[in-house]
Amino acid sequence: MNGMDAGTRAALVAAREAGRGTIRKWRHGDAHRMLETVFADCAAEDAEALTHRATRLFGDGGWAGALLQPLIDAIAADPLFEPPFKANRDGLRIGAVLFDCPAVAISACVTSAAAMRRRPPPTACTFSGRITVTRFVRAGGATLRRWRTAPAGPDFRAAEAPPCEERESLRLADGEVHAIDGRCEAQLLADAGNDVVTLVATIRAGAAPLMREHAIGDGKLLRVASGDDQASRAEMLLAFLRLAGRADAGPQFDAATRDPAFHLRWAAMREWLALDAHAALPRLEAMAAGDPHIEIREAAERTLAAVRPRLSTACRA
Amino acid sequence: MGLLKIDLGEIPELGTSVALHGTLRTALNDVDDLFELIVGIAILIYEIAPDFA
Repeated sequence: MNGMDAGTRAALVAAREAGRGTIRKWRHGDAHRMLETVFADCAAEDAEALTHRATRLFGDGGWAGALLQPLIDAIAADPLFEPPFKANRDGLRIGAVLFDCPAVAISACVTSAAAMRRRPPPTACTFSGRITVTRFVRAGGATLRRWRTAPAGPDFRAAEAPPCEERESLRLADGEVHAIDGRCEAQLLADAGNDVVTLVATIRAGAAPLMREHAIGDGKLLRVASGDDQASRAEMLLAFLRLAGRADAGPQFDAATRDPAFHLRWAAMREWLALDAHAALPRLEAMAAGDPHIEIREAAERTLAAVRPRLSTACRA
Repeated sequence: MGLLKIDLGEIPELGTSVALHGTLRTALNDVDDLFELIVGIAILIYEIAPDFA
């Protein structure tokens, strides 16, 4: 730990040890249990029902204060107490995940009005691919800019992506609750006079496989990222298998070339070819002939043309 | 016969480039997904192969 003296380090360790009981008690407290109950008997894959429950929960924000109070008290008693939250801070916002279960994650966020004023106006908006419900605890006099575009299906192609269109902005008031479908809607805060405090429930069910960023100026698609951490994890682990020379992992590469996420299918084939082209060839031929995504069929076709002669030469040798 | 490996630079990429999860952040996303993803992978690889690299 850079620049930390032994006394501070010992105090941190002691605070962590002492805080365990507080955190355990907090998890079994009424406020936390109430959140568990709200989503307990709801199917994790039922996005509509989860959205409805989150909207109803956010109709009153009083529970958030009750949830946080024991932890605020603990910090008041010991400034080194660490609340059990994943937190994130950047130049604009500070946020923390207050509650997380398989169906939904609820986070709190404070967006700085001063930082918003200092920054140049945003040039892009992001379609998260997920349904979110937001309670504007303190709206700060902000407006909510909104955009819409078509959802991205499994055959999505950047070259054919339609532009997004801006919709009418909303003037926000304290306590308002808005749900958006991030598969086809995006939003941004603007013109805040004071800091904006939000509670956000992110529904995991029904998430789109892709996140998309569009330019605000002309609505055009700028960038695409995976909305699924499992697909990205698999991509990196397949690269690791190649680097580790694990030619015995053919079944894992083969399975990944059949994944619903088109980008993972092709990433897996590329890694497989770079590890063991001979083993990958039959699957490459199948992808060229019948993969559901046209870009994969075309890429596989071009790859086959380059690889076949080399494999024939290697076999003859 | 040794394995035939095709250089990644010789294998075409898709026209639709898809970046890793977490490289795009939304205005109301409060967790650094990319950081968590990479740390998770690093831990996993260390557990699978502590002597790798």
